[in-house]
Amino acid sequence: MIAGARAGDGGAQAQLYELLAPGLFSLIRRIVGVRAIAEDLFQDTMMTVFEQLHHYRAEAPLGAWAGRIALSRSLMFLRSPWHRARLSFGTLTDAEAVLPANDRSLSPPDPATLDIERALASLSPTARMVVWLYEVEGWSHEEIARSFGRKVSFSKSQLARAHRRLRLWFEPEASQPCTPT
Amino acid sequence: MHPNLKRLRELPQEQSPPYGYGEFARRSARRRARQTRAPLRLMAVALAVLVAGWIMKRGMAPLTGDVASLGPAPQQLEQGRPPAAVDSTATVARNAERWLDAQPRSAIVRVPTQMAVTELEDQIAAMDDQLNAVRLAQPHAQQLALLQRDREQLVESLAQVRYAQILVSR
Repeated sequence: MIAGARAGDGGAQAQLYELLAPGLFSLIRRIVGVRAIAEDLFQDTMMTVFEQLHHYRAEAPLGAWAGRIALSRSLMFLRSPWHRARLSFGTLTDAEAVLPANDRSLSPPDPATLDIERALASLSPTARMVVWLYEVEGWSHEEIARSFGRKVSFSKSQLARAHRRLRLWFEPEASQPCTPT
Repeated sequence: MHPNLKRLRELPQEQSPPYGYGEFARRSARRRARQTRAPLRLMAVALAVLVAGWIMKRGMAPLTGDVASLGPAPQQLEQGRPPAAVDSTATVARNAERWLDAQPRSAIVRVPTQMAVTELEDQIAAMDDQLNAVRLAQPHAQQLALLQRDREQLVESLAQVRYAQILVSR
């Protein structure tokens, strides 16, 4: 299938698309939040995957290789001045935006999943990306800092703040001040 | 690690993609065509810039003012104001369009950027025609929504390019 897709065979490319698209779109959407942007980055990512397929050496699973491309595209967006400018036209932190509730999802999300999706969506896009890269993708602080063009302290403080915020989300009572009895 | 953070790794890894392979191929072809047309547009815009330069050199009034007269980016952009509570792509597109309307045209432009602006403006105009045609003929809610979303993305792209233009001109 990969050989066919490399050779430009439409059928093989369609098969590859069906295989990779759900995972890549889910990853991008979860990171950038807003569906319209996710669609744009997804299109970019898939086009790059097909263009770069001849560089794929099968040293890692194809999904992981394509995932790196998706992450790199998402990072480029988050680092762009436009991303910051866009915040003034609306917001990228809309919790509803990342929720799969209105999607034609493969399966309806259970309440626990929805809760963690909401918690993730409550973070800023940058914090969300840092949490995702560190906690899920297993990147080190050094790798994250490098990819954002920042210092290690940036990654550590983003993660610490995000953890604090997530803790408040899951345990709101922990944020209540103690009252003497 | 907090147990809820562990659950991040267990989130469903797959959501159905926004469109199938057919639509992906169509969009890819459209993007490639845009890139292929770029050299022709480059020549056209270069010619326009030459003509504008010639007019200005002859002592006539500039076409629409100079770069310095470009309005500032919205104040919010400068201040990095925190986002509002609610967002939708439609809201962003509406605000972006209002901001675009408030930006004066410049006589001095960078050719590649202006080329992108012209291209996007053409596409938005074509999209408006298409939207009108669909509304007049058989108003199909789903088709209208799809077209509307495409248009919102184009408006946002245009705002993005114009914003870059303003940053460069400062």
